[in-house]
Amino acid sequence: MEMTKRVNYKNDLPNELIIEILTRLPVKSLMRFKCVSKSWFAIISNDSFAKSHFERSASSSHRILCHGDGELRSIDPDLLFHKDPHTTKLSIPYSLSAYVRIQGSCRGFIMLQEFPDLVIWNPSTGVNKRISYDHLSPGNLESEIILDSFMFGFGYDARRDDYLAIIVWCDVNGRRFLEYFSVRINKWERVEIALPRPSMDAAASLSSPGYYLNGAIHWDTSSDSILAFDMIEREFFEIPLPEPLGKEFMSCCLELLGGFLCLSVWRESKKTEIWVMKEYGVASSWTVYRIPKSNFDPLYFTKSDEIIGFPSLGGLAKYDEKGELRECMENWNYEYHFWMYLESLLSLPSSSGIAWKEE
Amino acid sequence: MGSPVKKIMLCSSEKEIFSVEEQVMVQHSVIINNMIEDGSYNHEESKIPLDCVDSKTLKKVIDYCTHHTHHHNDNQEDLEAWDAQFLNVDSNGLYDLLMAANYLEIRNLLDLIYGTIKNMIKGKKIDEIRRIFNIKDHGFTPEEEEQNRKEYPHFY
Repeated sequence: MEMTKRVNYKNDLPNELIIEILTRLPVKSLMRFKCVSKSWFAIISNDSFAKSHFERSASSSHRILCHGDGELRSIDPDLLFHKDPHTTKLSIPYSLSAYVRIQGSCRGFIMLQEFPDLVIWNPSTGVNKRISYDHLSPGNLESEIILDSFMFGFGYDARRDDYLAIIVWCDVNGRRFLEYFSVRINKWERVEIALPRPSMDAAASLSSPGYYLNGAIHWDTSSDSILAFDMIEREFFEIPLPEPLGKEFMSCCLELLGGFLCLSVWRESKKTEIWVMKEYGVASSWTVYRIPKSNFDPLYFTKSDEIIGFPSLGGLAKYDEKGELRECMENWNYEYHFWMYLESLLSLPSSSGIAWKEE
Repeated sequence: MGSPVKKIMLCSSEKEIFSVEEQVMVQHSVIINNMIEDGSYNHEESKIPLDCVDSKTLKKVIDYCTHHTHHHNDNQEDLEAWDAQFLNVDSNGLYDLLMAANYLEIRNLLDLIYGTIKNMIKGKKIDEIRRIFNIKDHGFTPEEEEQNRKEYPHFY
């Protein structure tokens, strides 16, 4: 067999190999590489490329959204302790003020909330969608609404390939409603619900943000368990707090730490306990990290089993699993709010009338 | 003395014959493993023609497979150091290796090469990427190209 000599090396790098290479790159490089050529643009803009890229990179593409001083910035968590962590200033979508609240995030999207708007936003690509919940303003409802009963959440329904924005609210008669917006169907639905246990009713009015993980949204209810909503079954369930935690604590705060559910527990002693659920849904996997500081607020769980967070007196510190201080930085701007999210190229499903099929 | 090590013949694009331990190639190359398993390779008379792999590249590929077969118990650090040294080649060499590893379906070598290319290009600007991949015709109209350069000057 005669082999044709390659004259123009690399011009013949097949598309499938280019895709393999691009799938491994971070979102930031890919956004830039859209300008390399029309064919690279087509690959990077493709929906199924965005999905396979996300599935490959989800565990390694954490970013931190910093919110404060009237602006939003993004930081690479691996560079937190660098002198110049290269924060990227993000432009806030729509005419939202800089004082919007972050109420959830999922697959690269962040849900911002400022009455009467929710904005689903992918800060890596700029893709966004505004959803109004003006129908829940006091004058527009038959029954009187308890405004501070609102709980927000945002998550992904893998079976229907749909995203839902969720508001749980309560009226003055104690009836509780679940209001959800399907991005695919482009419409709000309402159902009356009961929370899995009545003791949650009193507690679940903290307007805690919803933490999306493993196909469910999780809320802090300050009760004996974490309230969760299954995105596929569309049902509430609860995750009990770790048993050894006991009840003798001053505060217990739910957070999402590098892809794990986590509780930061402050007791009277000068220690903070960080309880991490290492295996989702497995009660025996709760692991405790004892940080020798009071009111330590965790931010990020590194790949080498270390916890980065904020000591109560300011600054930024990193502790290992034994509670030894590994790194600290005193001049850290504490005026910010922080939110972990994943980088993705994903776009939102279009609501162009393609209805999903129930199985 | 034990039975002699079973060998197979690989033939490069220059028709040079390489004799390699069968086990080494079977373990690493999906394609060769399939050929041995389905009996399409006859140990007495077959040579596996690799018309799109030149001798220099084929020798490298055989080196890689041999090392990873005989040293798979080495510690991770030593293996990584060996891999880094192995891939210390110019971009033509890297390209040839990529094509060969892809053709022979050598998964771990492919991952290694993809990882190397990723690190090589992730921070690069558009003009450098076009040079590395030898992209002469980017396909944008002059207006689109000018628009992109104006909008994202720091990309170029």
